[in-house]
Amino acid sequence: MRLVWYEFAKLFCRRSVLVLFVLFSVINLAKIYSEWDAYSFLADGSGERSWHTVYWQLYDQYQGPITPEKVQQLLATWQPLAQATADMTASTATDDANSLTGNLYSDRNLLEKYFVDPMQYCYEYGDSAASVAEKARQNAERAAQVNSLYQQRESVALYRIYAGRAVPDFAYTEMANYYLNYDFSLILVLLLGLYGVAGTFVEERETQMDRLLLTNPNGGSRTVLAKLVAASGFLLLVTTWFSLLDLAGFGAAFGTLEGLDLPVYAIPSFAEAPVSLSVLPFAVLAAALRSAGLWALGMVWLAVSLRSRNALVPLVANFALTAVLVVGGASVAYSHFVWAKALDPYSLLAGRPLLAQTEFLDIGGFPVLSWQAALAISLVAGLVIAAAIYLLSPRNTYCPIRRLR
Amino acid sequence: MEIQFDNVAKCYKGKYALKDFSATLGEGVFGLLGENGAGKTTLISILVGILRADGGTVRADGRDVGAQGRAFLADLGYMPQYPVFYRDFTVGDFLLYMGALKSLSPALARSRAAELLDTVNLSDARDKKIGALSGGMRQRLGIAQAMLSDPKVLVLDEPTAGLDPGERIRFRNLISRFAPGRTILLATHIVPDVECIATEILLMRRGRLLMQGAPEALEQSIAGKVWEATADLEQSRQLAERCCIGNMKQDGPLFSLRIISDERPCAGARPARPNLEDVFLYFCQDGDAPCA
Repeated sequence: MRLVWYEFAKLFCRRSVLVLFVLFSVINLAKIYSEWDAYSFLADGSGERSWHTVYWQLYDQYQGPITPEKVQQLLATWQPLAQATADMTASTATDDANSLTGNLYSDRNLLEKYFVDPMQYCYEYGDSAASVAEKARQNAERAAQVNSLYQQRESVALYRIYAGRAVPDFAYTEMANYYLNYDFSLILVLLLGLYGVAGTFVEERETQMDRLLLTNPNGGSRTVLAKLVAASGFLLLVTTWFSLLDLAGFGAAFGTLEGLDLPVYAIPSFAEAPVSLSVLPFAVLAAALRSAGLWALGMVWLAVSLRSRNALVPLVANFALTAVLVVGGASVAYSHFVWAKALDPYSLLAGRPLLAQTEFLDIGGFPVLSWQAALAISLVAGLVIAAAIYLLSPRNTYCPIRRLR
Repeated sequence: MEIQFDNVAKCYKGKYALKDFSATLGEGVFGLLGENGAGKTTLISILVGILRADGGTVRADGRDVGAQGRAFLADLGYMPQYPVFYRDFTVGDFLLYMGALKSLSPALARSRAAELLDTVNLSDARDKKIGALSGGMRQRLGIAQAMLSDPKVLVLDEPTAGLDPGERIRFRNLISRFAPGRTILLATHIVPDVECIATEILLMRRGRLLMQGAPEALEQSIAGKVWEATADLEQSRQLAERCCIGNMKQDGPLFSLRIISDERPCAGARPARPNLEDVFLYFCQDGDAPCA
């Protein structure tokens, strides 16, 4: 355990890593703030008639369970506005005393974007999910009739996922939507992880510590094991930190954490999510997948740098390899090449390619959700590479593998 | 602990870096002397287990070190050539880390580190980052880490390379202080480093052991082959073509020469008492040089 701690200190307590960690955190927060500032219509200040102020005043009326009374009340407010502005002849005054935000068009847009459309989506989601479930049930029956076992299993699995899905509550989802669709921190996580981990073995060689380590009773394979554990811990720390920072940053920028307890499919881009979790546990799952993807990639980085004598070569090689995986992964992210997605750790890192769509892989005749397959593949690949690193790393000639306990 | 090398050999791409090396080291300081590329680092790497020998055996107290495994490593302290260590570690943390590598308990590692830092005069630098240490301080830290587990065998590879004269003397004194009760193998090509402190010298050339013995015995082996003479520039040039000049010092219009030669090199040459540098020059010069 002491060795793991020291290896972790070697990785993490370097000034350059700490500086990058702080710098990237600040850049990430700035990027999140800029997302809110650029894309949220509620980022218009806290004036009395700003969208922000009006929205939160109206929100108190409509949040919570979607009831016919609330729907009627919303339509009673929105429909006259929609009619009045339909032919574009309504007043364009910006200080209209009879409007909420000072302008009728603005009122209509606010209500449409933040109340009518989201509430309609939530209200109708149950029916569309039921329709998918019913079709899946019918497909399963048809597949059973023609003895198509895999098709039957897949349809049953699909039915189980969609049956009973509904969004009974209305809540503010803008923050959760931007949070779950935010990818920028992925780049920072990759860069920081790569910088921190790629030099793990090379730096020992550059400082001649590799020779010294090998001459100590715990300096060979035990140190390699400690390095693998410490690198894994470092990568886990990086992904956890940036996942938390993303959530905290979005919460702070949007000024609320509302909507985290809604089902994730309450957000339109996750309507076909393969898991029926609420937003917060879904974000935890996405962070766990990101950690697994980064860990597998980290093991590749370590393997590439295992025998290098110069820090720059593995860094460049690993950077190029990562770029290829990212570009390749991004190009198939929203395609139907499900195996390609499952095999590329980028899909786990980004999360959405696997978690925004329900897709199955045929593994031995059984339908496995693409995110589960990708997770299993990454973990197995990571473990195989870690074992190879352990076995192939230099060791003292007096301590061959068979002597290890 | 007695270390015994028995016909140890190491071959790189068909060329022997070490061949038929046999020697026995008991307690004391053993200077491994040889030119660059003589095979010193190869021998040390085999002794500490970094390299596998292609032939021969290494024994410690009569037992094959390979069979002893980690038990032998626990008795070993090693300081590599040009150690850089970890720039971002403090001196104290680095020693505690080395303690963990040597399986010392944290309490024992802490007390040994304090004791050794005091011995090597680095107590005040305990909280300094290694990156901020001078070359000499880093070498002293190197010997402190090697001594952390109180090893019976201490192996130092070119420990004084790059040090100024003051630091070199301080370092030599440290080695002498650590010598009682243990075997110290000190590889160097800087003759004065071993001349003063070595109990025995192992003289290597081209992967082979040329001689082993006390410095005085080695010096005695070339008795009558070291001369001193005075010559002008032209005579000096002629002598340098025929003989190995160990030292040449200008003294007005003439030069005082120290010449290593089997025969009297010139009329007027006086026999001189050999030193270890003469021995080194006599045995370790290139094949086409006049000394060989």
